[in-house]
Amino acid sequence: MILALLLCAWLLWQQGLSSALVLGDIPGLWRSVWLSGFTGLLSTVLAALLAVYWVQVGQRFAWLVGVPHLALAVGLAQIWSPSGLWGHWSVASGLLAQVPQFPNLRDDNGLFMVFALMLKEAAFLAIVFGSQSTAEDGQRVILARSLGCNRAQAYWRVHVPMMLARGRYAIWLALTYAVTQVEVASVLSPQRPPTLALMIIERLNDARPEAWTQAIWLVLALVVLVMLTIVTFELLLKPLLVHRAFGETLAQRCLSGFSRFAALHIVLSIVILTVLAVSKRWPSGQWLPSGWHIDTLSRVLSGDVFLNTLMLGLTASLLGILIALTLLHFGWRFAGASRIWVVAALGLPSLLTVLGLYWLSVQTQLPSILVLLWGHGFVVLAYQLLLLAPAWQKLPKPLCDQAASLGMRPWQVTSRVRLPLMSRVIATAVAIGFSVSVAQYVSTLVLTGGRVQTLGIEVVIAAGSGQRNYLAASALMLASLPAVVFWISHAAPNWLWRTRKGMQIVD
Amino acid sequence: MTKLAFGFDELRNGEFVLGPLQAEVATGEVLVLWGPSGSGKSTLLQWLVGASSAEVKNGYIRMAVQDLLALPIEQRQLGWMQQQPLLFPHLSVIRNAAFATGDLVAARQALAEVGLSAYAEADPATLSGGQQARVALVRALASKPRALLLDEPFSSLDPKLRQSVRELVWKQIRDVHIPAILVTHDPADIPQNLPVTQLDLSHA
Repeated sequence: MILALLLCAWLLWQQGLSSALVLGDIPGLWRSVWLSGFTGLLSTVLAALLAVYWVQVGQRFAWLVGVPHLALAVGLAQIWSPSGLWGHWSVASGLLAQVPQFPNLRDDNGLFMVFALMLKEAAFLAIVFGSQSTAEDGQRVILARSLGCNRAQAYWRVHVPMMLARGRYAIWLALTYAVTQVEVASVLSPQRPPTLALMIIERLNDARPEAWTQAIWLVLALVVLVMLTIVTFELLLKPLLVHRAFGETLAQRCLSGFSRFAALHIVLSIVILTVLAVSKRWPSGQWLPSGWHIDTLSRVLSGDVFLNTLMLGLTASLLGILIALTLLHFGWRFAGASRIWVVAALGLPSLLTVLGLYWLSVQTQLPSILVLLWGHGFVVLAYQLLLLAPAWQKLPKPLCDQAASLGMRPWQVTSRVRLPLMSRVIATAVAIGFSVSVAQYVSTLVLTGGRVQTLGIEVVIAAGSGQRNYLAASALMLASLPAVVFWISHAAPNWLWRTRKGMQIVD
Repeated sequence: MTKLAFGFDELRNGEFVLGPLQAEVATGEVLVLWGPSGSGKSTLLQWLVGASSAEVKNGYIRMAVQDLLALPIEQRQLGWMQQQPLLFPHLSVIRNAAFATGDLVAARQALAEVGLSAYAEADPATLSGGQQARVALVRALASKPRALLLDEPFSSLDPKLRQSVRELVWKQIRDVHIPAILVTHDPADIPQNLPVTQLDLSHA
């Protein structure tokens, strides 16, 4: 981030503030700013409400966090696009005469993007809210009812504001991501004009110097927009925390119905990706495709793109684990100033970070693979430290002291006591790091100039080419890879410690 | 004179069974529930307030002639103070006090009566245990309850604070003249200047 800001300051020094006038040459800029702010804010507010509801009713959609944004966006597009699932089923059920031939969603306000972002952010926020819940929260809701609130009133007046107030910083993170993301926008955003983040990517891919000047000014505009949406969110939140709510029962029913609608789409999007990935052709008027084959899937699985994604994800994740454990061994704590960069890595617009890294790579002439690993590893390491640091601090100190009293050096205490005790959480951190790396689209695209192809990049290219089966197969693999790694990370410690009863609960 | 009367043949909460039991408390009177841990004192209070999923056989809860048992928790109008004050962390002190009514003026006055007017806009988390207990009492009484149920409300306080909060609670019960049920382990919790009935649940 510091690099990016230095770069911006340097360029501005070189070109003067008057260079901002280039922004006036961009058609549809204000519409783009509005689109980014509106979709980011609306999706985050809905995600927060949905997440609070999921926590309260105990629905478990945490696994959705592992599904890359891009894969979910492609799945939803295949459900809702005119020539997608609903198009085929409308013809099959007699509602339409034939499947419309245009493949893209006609959605000038980005509402499908809002829906996709909402699902993903809700899963993330539900995890955060769930981890912050206490046994007293339920007692407070009951207490509110003893003070005269009915069930819905107690929910809206106590449970919702309590969760939103506590999870405020996580909501800021989600909001920042929603305003600045490229992944979902590259599949579901309106194109004329696109979101601000997509506009920046378009200009970063343009070799002309004026395009770069525009890109830098747009990045600064994006940062200002993030701040404005956070302020707007806070202004919206404040009355919700203290107002006397009305219409709570109706709102409760709407939320319940909406939650079912969302769950249906999560399942359907995965099903449609699978169906399209193994289908031959889907004749108009048929409920299902007419023939099946796995050639497309095999093509994706055997290609370099799949291997690149796998290797890059594993390398970034394992390197991240190595660095995180080394830092923890030497006393790093998630507290004070040392957590600033973790929060910065997770909370700042990735475009800003990527821009800084790109500039650094140009100045230092570092090999692009190293810069790419740096770009992925930066975010991967932040997530892994977030998970590992509390687990490290919770390790039973007497066990480590006992090992030391038996003559072990500090590194031996770590390797022979701490690491085995933490094997489950380490495995989970590997899986999270892997899924974070697989989901990195912007950094892969910008830092390598498109020279390294990954599944994420392939999906975006396929989304614009109309190769529906290849798109679905790539998106399915993009979603499956993290899922498989998550499954292994869960199963491996169970198998490893199958004969150690005490290790079944230590993580 | 309005009485809170309740009884049942059996109150079952999982493996735990209590009963048969019958009792009543008149206005301005305190029914003290005794018994060792696990004897069902808190379960009984939760059943009375309507927060329990315990099964009951031939049960009744009557306030004057109205049967409260069929009513949901929010319509029973029974004030409830628990061991922890459970103030709503997202609301200021005064909005906690005014939670049931929304009447900020009355809440401010009630806070002044318990010596907390200076803390009206404060974050509840910054209050001491005794101050939080006082806010919880104000909040419970502001809802104009027909009876007050006290589930060891003094046990989390240190001895010095305990005495002052006890006196405040008994004074309020005298002033609003409603029946009260107190669950406690500590004989010092029993009010000296209010009519008291004692019920030992270890034999129920």
